[in-house]
This record gives sequence, C-alpha cells and structure tokens, in this order.
Amino acid sequence: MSEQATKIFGIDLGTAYSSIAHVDEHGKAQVIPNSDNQRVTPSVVFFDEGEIVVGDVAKENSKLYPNEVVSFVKRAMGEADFAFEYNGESFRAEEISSYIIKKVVQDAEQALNEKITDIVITCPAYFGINEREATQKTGEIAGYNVRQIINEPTAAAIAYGATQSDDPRIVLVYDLGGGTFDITMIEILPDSIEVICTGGDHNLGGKDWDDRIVAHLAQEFQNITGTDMDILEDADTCQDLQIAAEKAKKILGQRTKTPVVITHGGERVKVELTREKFEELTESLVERTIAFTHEMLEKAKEKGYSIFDEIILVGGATRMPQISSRISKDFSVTPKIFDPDEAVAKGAAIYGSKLSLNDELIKRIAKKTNIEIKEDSGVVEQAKVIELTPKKIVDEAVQEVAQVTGYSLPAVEESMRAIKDVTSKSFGVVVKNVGKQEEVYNLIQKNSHVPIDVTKQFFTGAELQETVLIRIMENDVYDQVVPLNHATEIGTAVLTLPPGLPKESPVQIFFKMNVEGRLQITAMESTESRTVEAAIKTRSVVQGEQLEEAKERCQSLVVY
Amino acid sequence: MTQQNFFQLLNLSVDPPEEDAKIIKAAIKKKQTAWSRFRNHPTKGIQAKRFLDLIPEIRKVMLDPVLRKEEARKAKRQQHVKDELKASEIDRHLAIYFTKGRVTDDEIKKLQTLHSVEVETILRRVIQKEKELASIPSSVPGTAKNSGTLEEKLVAIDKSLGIQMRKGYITNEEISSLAETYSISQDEIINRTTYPVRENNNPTDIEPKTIDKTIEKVINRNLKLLEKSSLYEFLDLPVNSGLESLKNRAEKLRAKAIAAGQKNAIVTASAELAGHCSTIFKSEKTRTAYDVSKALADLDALNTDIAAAEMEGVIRAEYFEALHKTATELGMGADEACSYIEAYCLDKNWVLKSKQKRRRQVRLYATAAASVFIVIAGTILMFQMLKHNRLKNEYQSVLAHVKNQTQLEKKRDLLSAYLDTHDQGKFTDKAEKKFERIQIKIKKRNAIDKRDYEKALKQATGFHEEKAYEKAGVIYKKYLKNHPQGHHVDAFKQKIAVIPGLIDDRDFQNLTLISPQDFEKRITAYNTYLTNHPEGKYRDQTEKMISDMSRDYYRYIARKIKINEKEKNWEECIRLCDSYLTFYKESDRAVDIEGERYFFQKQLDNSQLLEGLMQMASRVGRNNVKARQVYLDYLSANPDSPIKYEVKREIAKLDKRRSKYR
Repeated sequence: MSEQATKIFGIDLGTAYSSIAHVDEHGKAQVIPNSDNQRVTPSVVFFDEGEIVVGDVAKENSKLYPNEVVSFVKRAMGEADFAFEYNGESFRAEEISSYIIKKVVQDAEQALNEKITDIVITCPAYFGINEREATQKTGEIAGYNVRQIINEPTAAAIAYGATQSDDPRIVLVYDLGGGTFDITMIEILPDSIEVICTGGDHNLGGKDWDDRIVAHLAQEFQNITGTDMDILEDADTCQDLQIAAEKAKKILGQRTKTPVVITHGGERVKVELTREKFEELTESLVERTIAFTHEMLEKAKEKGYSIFDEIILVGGATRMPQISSRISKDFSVTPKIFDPDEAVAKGAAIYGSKLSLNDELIKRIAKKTNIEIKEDSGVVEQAKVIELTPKKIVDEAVQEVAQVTGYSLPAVEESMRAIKDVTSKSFGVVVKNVGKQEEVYNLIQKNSHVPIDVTKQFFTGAELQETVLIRIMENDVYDQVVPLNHATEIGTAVLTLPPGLPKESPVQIFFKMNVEGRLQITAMESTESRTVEAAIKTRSVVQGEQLEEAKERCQSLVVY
Repeated sequence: MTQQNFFQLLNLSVDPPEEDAKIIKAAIKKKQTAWSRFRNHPTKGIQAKRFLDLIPEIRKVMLDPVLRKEEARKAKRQQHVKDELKASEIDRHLAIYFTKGRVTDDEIKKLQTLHSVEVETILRRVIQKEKELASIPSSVPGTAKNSGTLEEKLVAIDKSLGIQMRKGYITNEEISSLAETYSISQDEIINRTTYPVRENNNPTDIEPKTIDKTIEKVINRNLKLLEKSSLYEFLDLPVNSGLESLKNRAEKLRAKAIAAGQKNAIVTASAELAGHCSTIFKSEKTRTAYDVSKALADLDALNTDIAAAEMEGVIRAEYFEALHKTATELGMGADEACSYIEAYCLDKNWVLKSKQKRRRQVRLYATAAASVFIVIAGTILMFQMLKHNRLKNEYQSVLAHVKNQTQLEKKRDLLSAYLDTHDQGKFTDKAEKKFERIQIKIKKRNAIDKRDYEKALKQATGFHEEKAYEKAGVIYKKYLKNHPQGHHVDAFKQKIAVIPGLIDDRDFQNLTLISPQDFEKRITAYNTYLTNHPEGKYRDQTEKMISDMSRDYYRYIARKIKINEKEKNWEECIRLCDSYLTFYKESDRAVDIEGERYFFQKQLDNSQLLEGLMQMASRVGRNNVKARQVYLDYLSANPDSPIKYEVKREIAKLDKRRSKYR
C-alpha cells in the first residue's frame, strides 16, 4: 500500500479463537500468524502479576491459575454487570477483549514490520446494539481506529465470493463458532453481495458442546469412584476438564473414540469417550441450530427466496461430523466446509481493503469532477457517487489507484462490489393502542436491508400534553406490533411540546440505521418543529470516565 | 417465577436485617465478582448468568430502605417455609425410627449428617415428634383410596402410572389393580397413558433404557431455573400427549423464548429445554427412556428413606414396614414394594430384617404339618380323590389346550365349551374365573387396538394429505407389528399395498412441476425418478422426456460453457461437459463435447501449474529478485512448457514493479 492509502486490517474477534488478516500485494487475503507462528490465537487472557498474557501461554496457565485467567469473554460483551476482579481492580468484558485485539495486532505488526492503525472487527450477525457498541469500544480501548463493525457471516460470504466464479448464486452461511451461531442467506452477484435474511443465537457455540463433555466426565467420575462429590466445584479440576473436553471434541472429529483422564483428589480415572456418546450428549444442541435454520428459511420464503444453491460451513465447530451429516439429512444438500478458521478474518480484511480503496477512488473522483464529498461519507454514499460518475472518469480513477497502491486492476474493480447487509433485530417505540395498552410498534423490522431510514407519524394521547416520552426498544420479532414484554429498552428521549396542544397532535419519529447497524433516532412535533434526538442507552457498554481509564490502562500495558 | 430473596443471595443477616449500605454494596460487589467468575462454568454458568441478570434489581431493592425492609420480611417468611420443609423431611425419617418406640444417639447423628443441620435441630424435632406421638391415638384409620374427588383420584392414578413406568411398561394386572382401587374404568386408565402395555411382568427383562445421566442433569438444571418439575410441565401438556403435539409445542416455546429479545438466563434455559424436547420426543423409544428416568427420579425420596433407615448395614423389621408403607403410598403394589426395597438393600449389601420374611417361614412349617395330616387321612379319602383326580385331569387338560392357543378368542371358546359340559364344582369355578379374566383381556386388547388404530389412522391420513406416503407406510406397519391379530389388519394391509403406486404418481407429478428453464435440475430429477422407480408406470414417459430435451440441454450446456470459458473457469467447464456426457454419451454431439472436455482439462492443468508457481513466488515475501528467480528456474528446467508465455508475463510484471520502486 502507498503512503497515502491507509491499510485496513480485518480482525475476527472470536469467543474461543481470534485472528487477523490483510490483503497482500497480490490482492489475496492472508491471515498473519502470531508470535508462536499460529494462525489463530486463543481468546484467553491471563493476568500475571501486572503483565497481561494472551493466547496459548494463557491457556496453558489456566490449569495452574484458574482464577487469574478469563476465557470466552465475548459471551459477556454488552453485559453491564459482568466484572472480572484482579488485584482489587475491576475489568469489563470490553477491556479484556481489547487485550486480545492488542495481542493479535502487535504480533501482526512484528510479522509484517509495519504499523497498524485502522481495523475492521467482525461480530455475530445476531449481536444487538449493545454488543456492537461494546465491540466498537473494544477496538478503541486497544488504541485503534475501528473503521467498521461487520457481521461474521457477511465477512465469510465476502471471502467465499472472492474465491468463486461470478455466477450468481444463493448461499446459506452456517456459522457455528466457539460461542455464537449465525445462519444467514446471502445472494452473491457479480457486482454485489446481498444479505437476504439472518437468524441465530449468540448463546450457542462450540463451547456448549465442550460443556456437555465436561458434565459427562464429571458424572463418569462419580459413577466409577462411587462418590457423590461434584468435582467441578474445584476450579483447577474444572479448568483441566474444559481443556481436555475441547481436545477430545477435536479428536472425535477424526476418530470414533478417545480416552480422557480425570485426576481429582488423588484419584485418577480414565474414561473412554466415543463419538456416538458425544453425539448423543449434544444432539439437542444440533437440533437448536437446525430449528433456527428452518425458521430463517421460512422468513426467506416470505421475501421470495425459496431455494438456495449451496450451504457453506464456517467456524471451527462445524468440523464436527454430526453437523455435516445432519445438514445433509435435513436439507438434501452436502454442505461445504469453507476455511472454517480463517474465512471470517479474511473476509474482514477484504472488506477493509475495499474501504481503503474506495476512499482513494472517491478522492480521485472528487478531484476530477470537483464534487464535494464529506470526509465521513459511508460506503453507501460512496457507492452512489461512483454510480453517478461517468464511466470514463471512474475507469481513470481506478487505473490511478491501481498504479499508486500496487494492487491489480481487477482487485481495485472488485473493491467496488457492493455489500448489502440486513439488521438482525427489529427496532421500535412504545405506543398505546386503542385499548390503552402499551405495546411496541416496530419502525425497522428484522431482516430489513441497511442502511435504512423510516419515518412514522404518531399522535399525542392527551389534551395539553407537555412532553412525550419516547422509549426505543429492540426485539427479535418480525411483526410490526409486538407485546412490550418481548422487547428490551435501549434508549429514551423526552420531547418537550409547545403549550396548548390538543389531543392527537402529530409527532413524527425518524429512525435512521447505518450499515453497521447503529441507530439514530429523532422525534419532531409538527406545530413548532421542535425536535429531540434520542440517546441509545448503552448502559451495558463501558463509557465516559471508565472508558478513558480503560484506554489509559491498555496503552500503558504490554500484552504478551 | 418465585424471586430469589436478595438477603439470602448476598448472605446478609436477616435477623436483624443488615442496614449498612457500605456492607451491602461490598456484598453485592463480592457476589458480582463470584458470579462473573462462574459466568462460563460448564454446569453453573446458567445460574450465575441468572444472578448477574438480577444485579440491577438487587441494587434497586437493597439500597432503598423501604424496599429493603420488605425484602427482609420476605426473607424471614421464606426462611420459615424453608425450615418447615426441612423439618418435614426430618420428621419423615424420625417417623421411621419411632416405629421401634425411640430414637438412638447414632440415628440422631445420622440425621444430622444426612440433612446437614446442627444436632440441636434434630433434637428439637425428636421432642416435637414425641409430643405428637403421645397425643395421637394408637391407630389411625386410613382413608380409602377410592374416596376423594375425581380429580384427586386421577392425580393419584397418574402418580402411580409414573412410578410403574420405571420398568419401561405397565401390565394389564397393574391397570386392573388401579381400576379396582380407584373405582375407575380400565379404558379410562389406558387413555391416560401412552406407555407400552404388557401381559405380565417378566423378571428376566433387561433393565429399561434411561436417558443419559448427564443429559438428565442438564435438563433438570434448566427445569429448576424455570421452576418446572418435568418437560411435560415445561410444555404445559399432559403426560399422555402425542409426540407431534409435544414437538409442536416445544417449537412454539422456543420461538417465543427467542422472540423475547432479551439475552438472559431464562431465555437460554427455555431455548435449551426446547432443544431437549425435540430430541426426547422425536420417537416413542426416546420418550419412554425419559419417562423411565423421571420415574426413577421420583423414587429418590424413597431411596433416601431407605438410606436413613440403614444402621451399620442392617435395616430393622419395623423400619421395613414403614418403608413398605411409603412405597405403597407412592403407588407400588404390596409385593412390588417388597421386591423394590429388597433389591435396593441387596445392591447396597445391607441386611434386611423383615416380618414378612418371618411370616413366610411360619407358613412353610404350617404347610409341612398339613401335608403329614393329609397323608394319614389320604387312605380314607382315596375314593374321593380318585374322582377328584379325574375332574382335575380334565380341567388340566383344558388348561393345557388353552395355554397352547395363541388367540384369546380360542382360549375363551375352549373354556366356554368346558363350562358347558361340566357341573358346578371347584374346577369349574376356577375355569369361570379364568374365562372372566380372558374376557377382560379381550376387552382391554380391543380397547388398545381401537386406540392404536384410530391414532394410526389419524396420523397416516395427515401424511397422505401431505403426500408423505412413506411415513404413512411406517405408521401402518407399526400398527401391524403391534397388533398382528388386530381387527384392522386387513384394512391397513390394503393401504400398504397401494402406497408404492401413490409414491410413483407423486414423484412423477413432481417432475412436471420443475421449471422448464432449470435444465440441470430437470435432468437430475428425471434420472432420480428412473433410479427410484425401475418398474415405474411412467418410466417410458420419463425416458422420452430425457430424450426430448437433448437439444435444449446441449444448447444450455454450450451457453454455460461459453460463459465459463470466458472467465477461464475450467473446473466448471469440465463439470458441465461431464453433466452432458452422463446422459447423452451416445448422441451426435457427444464427440464434440468430449473434445472440448479434453481441451478444458489441459487448460486446468496449466492454470494449476501456474498457480503453484505463483504461490511459490509469493512465499518468498516481498523480495522481487527471489520471486523472479523462482520463475527463471522453472523456465530453465522446462523450456518447452505450455505456460512459458504466462511465466514470462509474470516475470515482466515483477520487473515493472521493481523499476517503479527504484
């Protein structure tokens, strides 16, 4: 990359493993190995007397120091009340995750001998506003410029699309990671990648499979030794078994049985775990993923998409044979395991490269056409500009960018491919219906394409009403109207009304969601055009003084 | 859902209630840290998450003086209820010990360990129990089981049926016994259960299958969080619901839980349980395994009582009577209760001293004495005995014939003929009882047959409507397997006979629904039809359809090949060629396609070769000189390579790049 064009790296911040990738000079996405020459880094953080250790070493130390090690912290992202305590200090999930990001970035800087400033981070499609905001903050705490948060299945589809021909096809991305599950239908076209529908559960992942093995091993220990004692009460034994369980799960992907040794309280017990038993223990988890898939396909049908061409499996947990065989059975199609550990990071890197090249293109187009383009213009505005610019000028700009950056012409042209995503949640406001019951009216419905602007008019409920309380709600329901107890409040605003307004005076509410799934809300009363903007109450996410403290801590730390 | 009391959750003093805000905040912080540590624990994670979800509510209540006061009051009430529950459990065990009139020190120590309480607590209950026993009259008449409202009876019947399920089935005798005990018809009892019904208990039966203990614990953990006692309660459906209803309800609950939109422990637990319902209720076999596990778990309280009754490896006779009573109250029959307790003790190597055992010994001696008397009196009674023996032989001969019959109706007819030809007497009385029992069995069998037939017909009709004929066939065959002599065997055999034809019609119909433009799908579907229906009615038609589309398919393939060739997608070109040749190998155009395939294969080989070179070159990093050398070495070794021009082009690119950076 030239000095002018800023290189953007893609980071897959996973529940169990993380990785970082970039697009090299040949235009190919490559994962950058860490300092141990491994292409994935365990998302495990060890607090070692003032030092922070991330990765394999931290994982090994978890056996000896289980209370100083944090794993699977992504599951606590966006949870206000999760706090890991060490040496009298309290750490939120965002801060702990920032150490993971810092580690992968540091190692990449060392490998490539270049400074990294800008990153794109992925998150599960099924993350809500709180979790996305938390992921954004994670990158900021680590000290990097987070250019965008993109969905993991979209990133995987981008990586997949880059390796295949331009034949239009509809692909199901079945993404089963360490902690989350996403199922997404994506249409790959020559000039765009479009998400049609998404579903999933961010509390369902490979870790749950591991947990079933751990519970089984603890039970077998009781059966064999004749004791009633719960060996999982002991932190060391529990940690030991978790590592053994993950290892056993991976072995059972290749072999039909594996021995596991349990050591506790001077007793040593050997258990033989078969693949059959493992599949029996975890059958209900597979069922849940299949149920989500069927549900998503039903919704896709409603949007006019009743068939798909292929299913690709992404995420390390999809290596389990039971996944492929169950999908084949239910959907009569053999799924394709596509680069399960690296697809997401590579897709994020390709997207980052797209952002960077687009920036360069836009600069050159603006110069040639004398159009003023806002510095913070998003990918959609940029795409519109490119679409409206005469082809000759665009081609010239593309040539220039290719020359300056060293990327091939096709690589630069490829960066103009549009990426259209959907929102995985519905967003609305609390209203009162004709029966004076409170309910939620969804302005943005789940699986709507983003960005999206929606305006809806509501009316005041009383004579001489002085204020309107606007409660912004997030939910998982496709319907326009939803019971209140099915939604979570994520923001509020109070709109002050002019005096003397009659009952049923109109109030307009504007919902604007950008490509990252971030929401802006404005409300306006029609008489004097008074407006208010609603703040999304990301109480769950670190902010203000806490955020600044976390940033300072992270900057001063060396992460090993 | 019952809210956890926050004083108890935070381990704060209730009496007097903690008022210091600093201490309360410290306690919240301490628990927050502990629960955060357990957030991802394999078995305690979900409960830890539940508690973390409660923290905002905990802060709101515990830091507000008014709300905190009310919470302290609730804590005291809940503690009182908890203490009463504990007391009643202790009392249950004391009741066993008091059957001998007193409680020993060792027994008090045992209860202290079993219930994890202070010795004073046990002593208080002992004193209380002694007072109660002093005031209660010596015998308390029991209430007849067949009194009480119909609802109460049905609850008791369901409980008994649940206990019986630990064998994996119930017997006709147990159904009769329940019907008699509760004055309810046997049909009604059969309708209340979907459990398999057998003629008799078979002691040689293998232990019935249960669900895996780990899965059972996972299910129970989630049920406990939702305050439910079984998956049926979670689904809010009766125990005798059909599998389809259970699965549909599970799916609805799963969707409802996810729609709640909140990422909390309750939603996760509900989703997990819905997942378990899908696997547990996928077949009768897995459902039965769950029911057996549940039945065994319901006996936990009895097992705890037996354990409490054991002292130094021995269970006293008086204790056995108390345990026997508990077991029969749970729904076991008298003999069954005996066998269960004996088996449990045998498994644990405990000696069981039983009054029933002594009674059996006494009966043995009495029988011996009677035999001696009969021998002495036998001579006198010899003539009577000869007549008696003749009648007996005739009776036994009938019995042997009856036993040899497999059909109940034939057994009945034989007995009927015997009764018609013999005078009233001892053996005709027996024969009459046997006749009545067989009549009852026939009635029961017919009721079960009717139930299963109606159920099967309903299910199969549904499948017919969906055109899922294979599934309908399975239903019919299952009925035939379970009721080989059933009344509806012929009807179902006829239905089975027409199924292959229906499948043939359906599959051919589906072929006609495929879009004409979807050539690949059409050709694959036609071929699948021919494979699946080698003798199908529409075989000729299908072959004609394949033949008719030869030209269109060729045009389609040619078009696709052109596009892919332009894109240099050689693998796809090869696949398209293979696709055409599979069906039209003998056609005129096959030769052309074979030729093209050869060409594409060559192109693919070359491009893979070039790709390999480029990868090697990229592996040497950003050093253009080294990368260049890779290509040069290749050319030197392969001067006539088919990709030499492409390699030279790559070298030129590297040279250009080098010159740019100089």
